[in-house]
Amino acid sequence: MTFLALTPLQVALLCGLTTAVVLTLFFLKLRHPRIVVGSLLLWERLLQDKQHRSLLERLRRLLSLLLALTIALLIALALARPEAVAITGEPREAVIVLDTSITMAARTADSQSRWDHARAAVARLIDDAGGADRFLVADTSGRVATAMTADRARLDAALDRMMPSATRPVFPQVDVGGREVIVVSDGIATLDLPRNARVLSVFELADNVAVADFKVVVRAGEPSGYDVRLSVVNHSPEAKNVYLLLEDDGDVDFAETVTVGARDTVARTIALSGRPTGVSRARVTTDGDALAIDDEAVDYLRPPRDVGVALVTTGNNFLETLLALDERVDLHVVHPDFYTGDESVELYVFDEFAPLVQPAQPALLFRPPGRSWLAGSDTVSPLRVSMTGVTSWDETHPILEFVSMVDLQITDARHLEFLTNATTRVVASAGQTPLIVMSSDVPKWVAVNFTLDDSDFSVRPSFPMFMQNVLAWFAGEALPLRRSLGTVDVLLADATVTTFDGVDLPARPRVGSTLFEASAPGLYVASAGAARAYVVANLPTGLSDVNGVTLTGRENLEWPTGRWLSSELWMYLLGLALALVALEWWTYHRRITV
Amino acid sequence: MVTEDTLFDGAFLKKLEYLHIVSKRAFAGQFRAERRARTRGSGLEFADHRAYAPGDDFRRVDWRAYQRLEKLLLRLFEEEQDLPIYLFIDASRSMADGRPTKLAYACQVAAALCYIGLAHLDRVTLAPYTDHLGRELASQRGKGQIFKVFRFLGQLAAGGTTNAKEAFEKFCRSKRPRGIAVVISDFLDPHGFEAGLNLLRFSHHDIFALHIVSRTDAEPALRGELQLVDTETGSMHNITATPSLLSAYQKVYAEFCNEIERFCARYQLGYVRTQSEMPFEDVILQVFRQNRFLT
Repeated sequence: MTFLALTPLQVALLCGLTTAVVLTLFFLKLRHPRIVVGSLLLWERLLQDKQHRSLLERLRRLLSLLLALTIALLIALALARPEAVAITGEPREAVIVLDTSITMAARTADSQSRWDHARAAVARLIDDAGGADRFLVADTSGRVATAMTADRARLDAALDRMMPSATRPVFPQVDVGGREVIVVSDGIATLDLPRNARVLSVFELADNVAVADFKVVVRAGEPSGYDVRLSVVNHSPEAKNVYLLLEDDGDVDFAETVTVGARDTVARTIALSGRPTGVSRARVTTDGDALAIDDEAVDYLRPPRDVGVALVTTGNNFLETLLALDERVDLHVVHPDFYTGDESVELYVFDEFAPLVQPAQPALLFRPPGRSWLAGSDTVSPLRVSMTGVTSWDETHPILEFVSMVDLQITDARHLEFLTNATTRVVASAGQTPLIVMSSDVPKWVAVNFTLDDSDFSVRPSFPMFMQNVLAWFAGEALPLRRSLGTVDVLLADATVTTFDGVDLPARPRVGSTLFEASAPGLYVASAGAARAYVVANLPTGLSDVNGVTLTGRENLEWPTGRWLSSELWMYLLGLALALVALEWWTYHRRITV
Repeated sequence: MVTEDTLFDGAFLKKLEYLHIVSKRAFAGQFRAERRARTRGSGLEFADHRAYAPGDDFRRVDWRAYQRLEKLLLRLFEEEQDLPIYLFIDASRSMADGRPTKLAYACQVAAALCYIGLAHLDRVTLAPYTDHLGRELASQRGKGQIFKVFRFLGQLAAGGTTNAKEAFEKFCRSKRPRGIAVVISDFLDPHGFEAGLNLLRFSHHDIFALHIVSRTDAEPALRGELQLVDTETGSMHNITATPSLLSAYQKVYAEFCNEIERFCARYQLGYVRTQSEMPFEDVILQVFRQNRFLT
């Protein structure tokens, strides 16, 4: 016999103490009330009678003491939570993984959800198990994972903390070992399951229409208008009439009902005049929709702001045209020979030029010559290299957001050895050659180590985006970061996070960034001092397919019984103690015991 | 306090006057009275003839018999004398039990028997006893003495232990005339009830045992863990009063009563058992008559 709550020594001490207390109380019990009788003559005659000196009579007190002792010891043992393999069978261990992907929130025909079914299934599994059986429960969002435990309260608490989320599901990093693994899932998420995993499916066919894509973009060549790109997907097994609604800062801009075929997608580009004044929001509504979180998406178009830019170049049509077309930019073109460094602008763009002294304003440099303020050392000598493409880039950095460098052709670049550190780092490179380097020390600078003439960057759609990102980053107003719902990492250290309406959200600081949970589609604002970052969080496309089953099978996962008792022994011990108390009460009132 | 008022009303006393204490035997009395004596004497009731002897009183010669038989025969008449009645009242502490107390009940019965005896000119002696013979109310005769009896009984209080043998030994040693000895007691004598009665029996008294029981003796209302204290000796005993124990006790008590009854039957002693809760008039007028103690 083993004990789950106490060590054997503690159990022995507890039993000894219990026995001592019961014996003490038994022998210290109240003195009998005195009754004066005329004579004890007959009583003595009676009590000397053989019949009343029988074994039972002599054992009467002993019986009472034994009953009291048994009851107390049963309770003491119950506190120790004993386990006897012969009675409850060998304890088992299992890892239970609950799929917390967002499709588990899909409503089922019984008005519950797949998640409710999963919870109920896990609860049944645990309830059916023996008291010594141990479980590890974990979710696929990486948030909750218990140790292997037989403590039902801990397991329940862990299960209570779990809930479906938009975080991309992954099989938890738990030590499965040779243990049984049970995955409770609707089978939509693609999980890298261990070989011995068994799947308990809670899948049920459901109707769902979702916003697959939503973007608000400035219409090219028409600064006074903007386009809304909206895709609606129907994951239902039949066509659906979908009511589309576009809102700008709460005002309805557009509404329409469209029919979307089964497992089909409808994409619309809606041209709207003016500029959005706040958060743009798209909603879809349909009958019998099982999942609500994907029925809405948001986007944010930053309000325009004028900025003075000095382009220092000997002549670059691409740059001049691009900057001139941007209605926010008040462009001044300066020849390098006339550069003084005291132009009344907010930022510089240097084309194949770099001043000896770092300007006071932020600077974007295309193929700059070697400068100490760029490299951090005067001894740095540039090296000219020939190359063909970009091998790596950090698309999470604000200046490269939505900037694709795939297949970017570069014929010639200058190899500058930058001293990278916490604030100066390479965000794009070709092999060992840094291509784009940025410094977040004030004043900021971004160096592109190739000219537009030596690459096709200027003719690619991502180039205006790059320029816009850089200008916004210099201005301290980064473009909205587009992130998936779930845990969002913002590159602002020790930032506070609010919704766009100003409601504070809990945030966790990390080295150089801040984490927060985006649980619903919306615009979130992270602020750290004067710096501010906007995060547009929507459900990623693909997570809303509630019927795209990848894992199949509804196995009969009844917990193997093979034991006499299904619950822990302490319950039976307490029950027995209760029965003995009732027996004692009954016998006492019939004076069988004293 | 036992008084005439508390004990008897006029009608009851009238009834008592018609009652006689029955003696199975004739005893020699000291005074002429209403009770037939063993001796022949000057009574009115013809008893027998005997042959004339010189010196006999000529007035008692039955001349009619001489006429028929030509023999001088003397007519003998029964002597009617008083009867000694000894009323032994157990005044031990155990008699304080019951409601009314057994002692009070015993006094009531004793007063009634005294009245009957006194009314018939018997000599009544009241002798309370515990483990010794207490102060007696010496022989009383005539109804006029009943108030003295009441006063005596009213002063009786329960106390001490029971030892009838010791008490009756003293009584027997004092050479009293033989008579009716009425023992009124609960007979809860640690030394045994037989010894005392035997002493009286061996002294040739006509014994009548009046066994007074109380409900608390016969059917004690006890329950649970108790410490019983003997009111006489102060000794204690722990018991667990279970229904089975009480039932066993009742059997023991019944056996005890039967034991006394059998003892009395064996030695032809009168025996009446009565409960102290029973109206004592019923005992006097019905129970005693049924048991031929009174006629």
